[in-house]
Amino acid sequence: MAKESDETTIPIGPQHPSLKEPANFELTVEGEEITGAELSLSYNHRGIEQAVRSKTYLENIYLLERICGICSHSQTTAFVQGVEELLGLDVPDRARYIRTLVAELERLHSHMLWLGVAGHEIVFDTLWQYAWRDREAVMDSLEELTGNRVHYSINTIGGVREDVEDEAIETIQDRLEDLRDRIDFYLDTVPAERTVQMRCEDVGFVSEDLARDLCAVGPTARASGVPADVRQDNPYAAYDEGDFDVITAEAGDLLARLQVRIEELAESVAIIEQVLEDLPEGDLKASQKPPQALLAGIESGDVLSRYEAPRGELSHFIRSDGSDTPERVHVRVPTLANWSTVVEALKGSYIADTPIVVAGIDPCISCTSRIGVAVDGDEATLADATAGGGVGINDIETTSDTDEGYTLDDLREYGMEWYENGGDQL
Amino acid sequence: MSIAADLGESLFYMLVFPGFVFLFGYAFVAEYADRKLYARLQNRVGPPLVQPFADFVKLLSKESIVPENAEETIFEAAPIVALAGVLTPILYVPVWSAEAALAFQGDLVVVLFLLTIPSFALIFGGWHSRNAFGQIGTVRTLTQLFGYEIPFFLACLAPAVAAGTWSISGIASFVASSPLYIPVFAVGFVVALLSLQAKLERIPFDVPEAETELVTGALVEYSGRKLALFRLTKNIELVVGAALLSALFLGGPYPAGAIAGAAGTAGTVGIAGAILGFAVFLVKTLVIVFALTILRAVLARFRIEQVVSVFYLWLVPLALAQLALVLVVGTAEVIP
Amino acid sequence: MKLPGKLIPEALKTLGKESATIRYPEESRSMPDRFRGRVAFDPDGCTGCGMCERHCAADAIVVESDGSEISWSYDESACMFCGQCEESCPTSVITMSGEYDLASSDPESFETSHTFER
Repeated sequence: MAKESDETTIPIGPQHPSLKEPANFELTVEGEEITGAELSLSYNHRGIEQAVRSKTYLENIYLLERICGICSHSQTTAFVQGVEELLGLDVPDRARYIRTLVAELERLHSHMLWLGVAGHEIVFDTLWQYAWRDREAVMDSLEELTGNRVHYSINTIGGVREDVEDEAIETIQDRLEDLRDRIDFYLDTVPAERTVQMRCEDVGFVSEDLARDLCAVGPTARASGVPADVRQDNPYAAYDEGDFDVITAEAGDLLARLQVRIEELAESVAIIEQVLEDLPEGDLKASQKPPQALLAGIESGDVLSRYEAPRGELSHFIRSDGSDTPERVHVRVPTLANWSTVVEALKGSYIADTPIVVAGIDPCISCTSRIGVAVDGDEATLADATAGGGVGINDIETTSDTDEGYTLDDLREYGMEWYENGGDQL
Repeated sequence: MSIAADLGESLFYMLVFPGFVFLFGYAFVAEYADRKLYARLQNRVGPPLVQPFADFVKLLSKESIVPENAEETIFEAAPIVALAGVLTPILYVPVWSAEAALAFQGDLVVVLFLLTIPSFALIFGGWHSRNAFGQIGTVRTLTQLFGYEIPFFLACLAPAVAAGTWSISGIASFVASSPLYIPVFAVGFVVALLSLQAKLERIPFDVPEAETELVTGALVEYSGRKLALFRLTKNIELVVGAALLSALFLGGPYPAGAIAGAAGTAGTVGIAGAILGFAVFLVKTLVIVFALTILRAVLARFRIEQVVSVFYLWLVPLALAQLALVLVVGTAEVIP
Repeated sequence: MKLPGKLIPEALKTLGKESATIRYPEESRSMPDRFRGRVAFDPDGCTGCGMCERHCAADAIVVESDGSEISWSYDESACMFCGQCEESCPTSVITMSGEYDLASSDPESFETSHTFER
């Protein structure tokens, strides 16, 4: 009954139980072994970079926050830091510490969510339920601190919107004590469980050289031995005053990524404890002026803001033209940098390993679906973008007729033409 | 007895107890017990008692689609064949006494064969749905079948060798009269448990059904009534498998026979003995279901080649060791 | 040789614990103070400045004023509960309430509006 060595193509997605968001992986398989993989990632494209151009910087904080539910604080902080640089604002210490506190709480919740999802992908559902149950302590802390479990909206231009009271500090510290015990439990049992090892050891291997070549970021790169961490390399918020380690592993396989993320949980708890102990007194905002007054003084210029999101290095490029709406915001998310490692790791793996290898980079497909608009630069058609390289990412790179880039109506027309000409059949 | 009374009795056995109606009800109770324990192990609440039945009724009310490219006859026949294959063995497994409803010499072999029919029906149904996921799932089911059938047969052979009979009822009576054999069978029991878990395609051996990769594998194109029948088949297979294991390895209705004072003599058990035996049956089968549930909760899923290597490198030698142990104990006449 | 099943002790211990979930809607949680639910508006004190409308990223608030009359309307289904309106309001008439049970099958019920004298 087994097929001869002719290849079949298995489509994973865009609707598939193992994917939390729509993406399409076309796997060419021979029997159980994967010989090739092609990714299509633009199913969740929402035109955010276009929408951002018609809203003020203040409104954009909330819009960009909703690029991703899990790394929402990363997006706002990266954006707001860029805007503050354009405005020349000096963020007060207390605000920087609170940003760090929320950032590390977000890293905790994101890694625990990932632990559950990884457990689910190897069908270790019990691990999934335990990880998500213990994550509730973090979610409750975030809700009490910021007012929402998911989109914290704690940042504003020049500082933060909510303060941390003493009772809140105590509650968080109590919860962290329990959490530390749970993290120790996960560190002891999960990588040591035989069935987890059988599924994750030597699976999805990415060597250090490959990780550097493909510019992998975040825990994915750190698990291959690349010690890249924006918190150390280019400190922001309160990280330059903190004392913490960059967690790396040598093995470069899924077990290493599991190990790195669980150890980062412990590290985040340590950072939060430092922050809560050393929380300085002070203002919450750099300036008491209302946002519209602040933005009136913005100068034109470019700024690149980098941030270590739970998934890796996130960068926001902001171009200001002196008005209160940005001319261009480009978001380079960490997941985009890591997709190539997935394609390379899938080749030679088994079909059965696909969900866990994909989950291994902690993908956020909503984050990834961006559009790249080159205002004056290369002319590339869709065919060029998909051909060549190991990755067939459907990023539309194209130019416009004027120097202004596409308006929303131009883009709509372009999209309709593309579908009419069978662009999705390529 | 007259032919009419015989026929009536057999029909009662087949359709009501321990046949269709009983299995239909008990399968849902077993699924409830399984899901509830699974949920509690994960610190969740779990479904209410009526949930498995509600799921079944819901599936019955949905549209039953046959894909255009599928082989219609085989596609439609598969669930019914599977259900038939799994309803029949209960007639040969002791339920309320050491004597099964329609026992005969050699029924162990027949039961083991009948229990492979659901897997084959799944394979045929899955292959002929002409869907890439279904076909890979089918190939995996077949591969897994090569993995677990041999240890399963070997493990079930051990009590047969010890009892010197090919009849399940004979084995149950034998173990009931020399209960010290139960610990001797422990290794074979573990092997049979794991093989049953693989036959049922539950975690850690649910790679043919891999929800996170293959979207239910061989069953991917099934919907509505046919899917309801397949799921019912799986639940009944759980119950029948548990009943078989309890009869072979745990001594069947022991100690009910001893307590009622009629240790498994053919056919002549009083009503009290039957009720007690049935209660013991329920307890033992539920214990086996719970053991399978705990297995389901604490392990991750294996890949297909890992399943086969686990079975051939570990479980086949263990089953052979069990056989050797039984032979040694038998010749040494250690147990009276 | 390592045997699988490291989680068994923890799993068996969990059987003794109370469930981690509550039976909603019979039981429900109480929200913390800072929780941002539905926008609550008090017309007394509103000056019609329109800062809430200007800063609303979701365009959920519409403020119209002509001379003496102000009309303030809010579309719950567009709101993203960010709380910027509460922060921007100079007279503090907008607050984020703790209402989160907002599902409804009637689209009209999502829109509220107030018309009042300045």
